[in-house]
Amino acid sequence: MTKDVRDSALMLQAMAGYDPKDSTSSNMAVPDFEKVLGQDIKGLKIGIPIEYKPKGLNAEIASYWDKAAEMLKSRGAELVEISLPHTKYALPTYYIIAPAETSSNLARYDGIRYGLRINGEKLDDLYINTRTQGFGAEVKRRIMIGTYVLSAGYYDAYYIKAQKVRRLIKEDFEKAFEKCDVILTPTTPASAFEIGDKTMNENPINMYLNDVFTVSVNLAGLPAMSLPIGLDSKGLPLGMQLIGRAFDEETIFKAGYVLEEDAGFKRK
Amino acid sequence: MTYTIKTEKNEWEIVCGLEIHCQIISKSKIFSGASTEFGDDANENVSFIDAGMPGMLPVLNKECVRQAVKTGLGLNAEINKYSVFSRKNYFYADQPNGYQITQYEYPIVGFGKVKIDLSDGTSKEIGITRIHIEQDAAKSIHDLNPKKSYIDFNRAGVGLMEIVTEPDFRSPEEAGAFLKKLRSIVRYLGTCDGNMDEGSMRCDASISVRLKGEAGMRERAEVKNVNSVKFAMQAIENEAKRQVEIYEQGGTIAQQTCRFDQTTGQTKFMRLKEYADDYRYFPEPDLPPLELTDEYIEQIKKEMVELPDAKKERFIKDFGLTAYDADVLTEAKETADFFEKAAAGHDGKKVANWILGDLFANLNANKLTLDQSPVKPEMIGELVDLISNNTISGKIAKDVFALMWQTGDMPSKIVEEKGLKQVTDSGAIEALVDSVLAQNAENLALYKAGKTNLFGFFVGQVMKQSKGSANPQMVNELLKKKLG
Repeated sequence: MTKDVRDSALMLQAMAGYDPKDSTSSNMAVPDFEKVLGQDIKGLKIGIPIEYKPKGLNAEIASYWDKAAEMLKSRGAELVEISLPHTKYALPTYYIIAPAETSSNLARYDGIRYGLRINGEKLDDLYINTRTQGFGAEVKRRIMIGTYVLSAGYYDAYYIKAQKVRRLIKEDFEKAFEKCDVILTPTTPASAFEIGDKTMNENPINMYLNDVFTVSVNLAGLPAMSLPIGLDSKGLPLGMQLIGRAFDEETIFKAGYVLEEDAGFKRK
Repeated sequence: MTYTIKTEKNEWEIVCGLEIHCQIISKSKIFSGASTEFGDDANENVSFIDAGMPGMLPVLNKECVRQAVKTGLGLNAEINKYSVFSRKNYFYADQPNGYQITQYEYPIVGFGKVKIDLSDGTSKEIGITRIHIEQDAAKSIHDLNPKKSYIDFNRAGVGLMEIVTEPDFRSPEEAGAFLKKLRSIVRYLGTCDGNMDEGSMRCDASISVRLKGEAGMRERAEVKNVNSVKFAMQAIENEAKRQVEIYEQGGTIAQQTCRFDQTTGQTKFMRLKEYADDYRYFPEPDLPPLELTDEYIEQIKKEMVELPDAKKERFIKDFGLTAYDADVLTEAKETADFFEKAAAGHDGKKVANWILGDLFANLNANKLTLDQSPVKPEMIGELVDLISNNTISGKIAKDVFALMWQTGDMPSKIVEEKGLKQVTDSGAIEALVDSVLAQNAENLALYKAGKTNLFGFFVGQVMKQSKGSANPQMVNELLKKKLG
């Protein structure tokens, strides 16, 4: 969203805070995020989740991850091994809950009041025509998955189960944050794929797999930052992710600023 | 009173439950700031939220929550301190978001009970299963254009309470009594105006029949949107008869939805339930669960008004009213308040008689509501006093009431101005009696000869000469004395 950590702090400063028109927003004081930039990180405990190092993890990514951890350590932070055992279920959990909400959230694009409208013989035809033409393949796929997991007879097996797993994932993080202050992981298991990559089009699950390190954060409702750490052999940028405690963006900014300085990542 | 449908072969019993949608009285809608005003121009009161614009989020209206809690307390129901909003997903042009925000697994109000009084003098308790709060849909208008439907979003997002009863009704009368009672309670509470003809209270009835004495329940038909107490009773009666007929002809009833035809009073099959939509309920992610505190509920309890049942009991106890009179006087809060004002410091039973008799007759004849009445409560109280302290006779009081209705004057003023005061001076009455006897010497002779039924004639003559103002009892006594 921004080009560097400082801009990100300024941006969040402007965005964060209570919104009486959003019932899900918290009524909490917003700290001065910019103030923490440049503060030292001596004694900060950096969590390294063991489950995020699967056997087949891309070697370049693994190497950057180690480097990033070393950078933080050399500035006085302490590395701590943590365990997030339910992370392996994060992806299927996310791809049940998110499409379920999506299928319902996008129902308003029905061609009646605004946007594209393709008329038809009957009301249902109007819906079918409008939505068939208006939505792209990936959106339609998610609407179908979401509709399916909410349907009578499947709701308990999918949606309710996913919500239970979501709770376990959240609890993993709560336990982990008893041992550390911020968690360091790669942002993605590989660098960006090409536009029009056939393997992604043929099997969207390959695409979903790229979200493996980030979706658990969304499910747990935690703040996180991704920042570029270096380039891979193809010259594509790789990112590191910092995950903080709920409402503790300050620690993320503090650690992120240090990482940004030491990585010295330069945009081409 | 046991109600059954008797056929040549069998005796059938009705099993019925009701679902009532009550529009919540609140200035703004349940999830937006738009006005809930009824009767404004189409699509006048529509916020971006009500129109389902992208990115708009619902914000719960506190007043709607309060009203639902109040209603729950009024129906002697449990208030659930934890409730959850859910989305009911379905596509229809009157549902702008493609889903309705409602409550599903965790409603705001749980089990309750309502007492109904029946015409044979018995009472019955009807179980309330739950009350949940939700948003109303927009209104579709299909009869303005042969090829198009129009949608008025003014109603979209108005707060609703859905009140669900147990299948406790065994007769159309019970259902009718319940609807009247419920309407009376929500009107007392000011939580719904209860106007079924305007659609602010709408009723669906689930009806099945079974042989008398049969255990369990058979498949039911749901009759949608019956919009008056009378129609609800008709729908239940006729749907039950339709089902009995089908069973007796060897047929079966599958779970189904029916429509009520107002012109014929008949129910018509619409669709089978098995083809009904799958609403894909799930918790509304845009709204956190609703949590209420004990203090909040206690505070509302303190603000509760006296409800019809309690008022009725008090009227019977304090004023000596009959159950029937107390029932009629307490059905509407306005009537009960009028009565109490009129009865304060006066004979309540007599006040009740005047209200239920002459006042209601005049209001009905002139199609006026109580608050339009030219006769005010204090006038009735005074009238009753004028009779009990013998200032006027009961007969004259009728004339005084008619004049009160015409002029809006206090009865004492009317009595004074028109000289209607009853003569209770025995000397004056005696003089009248003497003069009547003197003028009717012939009849007096006949009376003395044994024609004692002429007594009434003399009374009539005295009353006539006094222009009705003589105290009839005193006239009687004096005549008796004089005639020996």
